[in-house]
Amino acid sequence: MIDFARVQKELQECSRDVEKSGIKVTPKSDGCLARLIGTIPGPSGTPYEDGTFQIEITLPDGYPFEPPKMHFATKVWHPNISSQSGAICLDILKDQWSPALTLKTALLSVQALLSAPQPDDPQDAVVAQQYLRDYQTFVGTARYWTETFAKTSSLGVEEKVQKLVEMGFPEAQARNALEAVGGDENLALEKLCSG
Amino acid sequence: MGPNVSLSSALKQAELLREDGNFYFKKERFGAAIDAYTSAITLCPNVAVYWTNRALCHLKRKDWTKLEEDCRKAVRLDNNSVKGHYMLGLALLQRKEYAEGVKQLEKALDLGRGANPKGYMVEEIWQELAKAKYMEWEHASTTRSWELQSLKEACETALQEKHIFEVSQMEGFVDEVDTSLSKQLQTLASVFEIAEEADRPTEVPDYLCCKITLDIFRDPVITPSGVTYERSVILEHLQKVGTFDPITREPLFQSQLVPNLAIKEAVHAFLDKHGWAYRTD
Repeated sequence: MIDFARVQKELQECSRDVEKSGIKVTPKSDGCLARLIGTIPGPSGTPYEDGTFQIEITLPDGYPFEPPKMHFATKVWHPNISSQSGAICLDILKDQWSPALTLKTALLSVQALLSAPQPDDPQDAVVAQQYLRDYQTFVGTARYWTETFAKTSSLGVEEKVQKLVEMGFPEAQARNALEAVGGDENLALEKLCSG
Repeated sequence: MGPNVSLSSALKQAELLREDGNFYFKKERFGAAIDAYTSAITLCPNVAVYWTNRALCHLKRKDWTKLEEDCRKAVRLDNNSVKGHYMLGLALLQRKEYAEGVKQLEKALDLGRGANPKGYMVEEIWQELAKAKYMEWEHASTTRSWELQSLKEACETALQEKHIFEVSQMEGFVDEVDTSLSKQLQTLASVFEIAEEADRPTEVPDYLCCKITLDIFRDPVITPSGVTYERSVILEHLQKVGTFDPITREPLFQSQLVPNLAIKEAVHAFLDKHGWAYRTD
């Protein structure tokens, strides 16, 4: 059984110092505390600067005695994150997990991973190769991906829905897709195309 | 056959009856279980466990009067019976005997801490105790807040009347008297603000909360690294995650856990002052 009392406290604690950390954790649209969305700002001084990255969080039954499952919902170009699936290669999310860690500290570690890639222990071999052999191109690609996928557009929900409708999707579907991905129009577009 | 032999054979017989009772209890056949435990009690009336086992059946059937009777008998036979005190507390709360019921639950909680790991039921006891204590606090704090409010109003009225009197006495210095009144009213407000502080729900300080449950300690234990955890969750961690301290990652084994009595007392003192912290969601 998930310790929901603890999860509730974690969310409260997180929202209390969101100003300072920039890290947000909110339940997905269905309100179930086992499926959450984490948001981390890209660290400054990296190609991820000014990006906002969304991370899908699923809590296993054994939480907090089992690590939360996390993967990037926002596409990101990084040696330790799959450019395809968003899977994260991070020890504390695997065998180095400890129940004294929280969703916030785990997300802080993910943010730290963005600042300090570990190309010798890659999740995405292509990215890691590029990082090691042609660092300048790597930085360019990572920045381009940040610009393209991780910039929160200033559009409101209605404008986003409108934009998707103009692309030819039915309004109800566009609205659902936006809601399902937490309001990111690029992800919603992807979802609509794949669905 | 000597009397000793017949005594031990009675005990053997009673033990068999208890096992029967446990069997029926697991199948939720509480009537049959009560019959079996009753026979065991008839053979050996001085074994507290038979009484608490039968009491548990009464609890399941919500037969509060019989529950209380059996529990009273059990704690008379064994004053260290965690279950006896726990269920007696429940029965008393049911009868709206709050003070006595809470006392029994507190006794059960104290006895249950660190006791026999097989029948560990601290969380269960805590939940019931917290519920009762929270209700008690809600009631008391409402009364307190009402009393403070009317006292504050009475003080304000008195100050204002004094002010009017002073103004009527001396002409010309009205400005000075006015500022002194508003100052007094301000001070009065801040005094009452402080008086109400303990009853205002805020956050439980971090040092009274377990780093894993993030909740106030029930049964705190300390590791060789000096970190304090809630007993039940650190045991679960050692069993499920690994034999290391969750924060320092130093090696850690169950035998190294020691009760942290200072924190236990600090929690007790905090809860005495801030009843709202008993709130459980």
